[in-house]
Amino acid sequence: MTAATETTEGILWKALLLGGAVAVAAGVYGSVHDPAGQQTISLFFSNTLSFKAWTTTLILLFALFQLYSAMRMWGKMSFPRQLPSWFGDAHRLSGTLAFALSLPVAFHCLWAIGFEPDMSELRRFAHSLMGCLFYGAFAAKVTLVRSHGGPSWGLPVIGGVVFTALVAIWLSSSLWFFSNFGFPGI
Amino acid sequence: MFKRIVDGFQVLVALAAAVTVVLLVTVSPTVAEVDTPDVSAGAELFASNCSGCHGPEGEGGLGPALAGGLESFEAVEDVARFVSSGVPGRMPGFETRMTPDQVNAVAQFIWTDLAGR
Repeated sequence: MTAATETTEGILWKALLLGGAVAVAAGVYGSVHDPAGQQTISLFFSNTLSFKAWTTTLILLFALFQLYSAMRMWGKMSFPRQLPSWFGDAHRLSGTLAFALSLPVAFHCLWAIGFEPDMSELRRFAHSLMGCLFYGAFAAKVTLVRSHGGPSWGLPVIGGVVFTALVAIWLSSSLWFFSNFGFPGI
Repeated sequence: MFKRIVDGFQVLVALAAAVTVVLLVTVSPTVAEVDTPDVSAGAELFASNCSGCHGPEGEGGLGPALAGGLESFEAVEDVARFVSSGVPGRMPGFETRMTPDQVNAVAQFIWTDLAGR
């Protein structure tokens, strides 16, 4: 018997299909679930929206570190000149923290508000779409990382999609919140 | 050591993600219990059901501002109907989550206390 080995294309397709399934599942849930219209977690903030605006900002900071540390590990940046032994784990930790922080935010978006299908509500529509894309691309990225053997361009491209989706999410939520309710809006 | 901590943390976050998915499909909205449908009960219902989108003072948020507004409504009964039915894709309807008395109470609170009509 010979052990089945996955081809580069096979790994990529697996990641893309899984990511697509996650994105579609989030969109379908947000569309068919009757939105609760209630506040959820707010911690020490005055309301859930404020909590979400600041948590998404923190997630964006972790994502910026993800971008920087990934570019350094791929040799696109040269600082620090000598990579510390913990650098790769710090990259993983920042991504894990970002994802963990996104869970209560996404829960409120999906459970209390839902997917905005009306394209004339451009901010809400784009935010809904980017939220689904973020989790889909994130699932694809994690699958690629864990599979070892995808195409060399796969991780940078899908990582870039994750980062771009997150920036779009921040612009259409946190920046909108700070612009409309004042800064810091706590 | 650091690697082990990150590995362990990733397992915990994966579990948290699974719990989040379970909560998404199992948690039902809560409705504040009130005995009498008056304006103070409406305030309580508004705080627990509407303020998440319309703001604690009805100043708006994800949903439009209610304070000092509601020009498109002619009577409190219109507000009650709107609260009851909602708008697909934009605002949940509350006819299955509140009794008619509760809907009337929150509509009365929105109409008088927030919109000043």
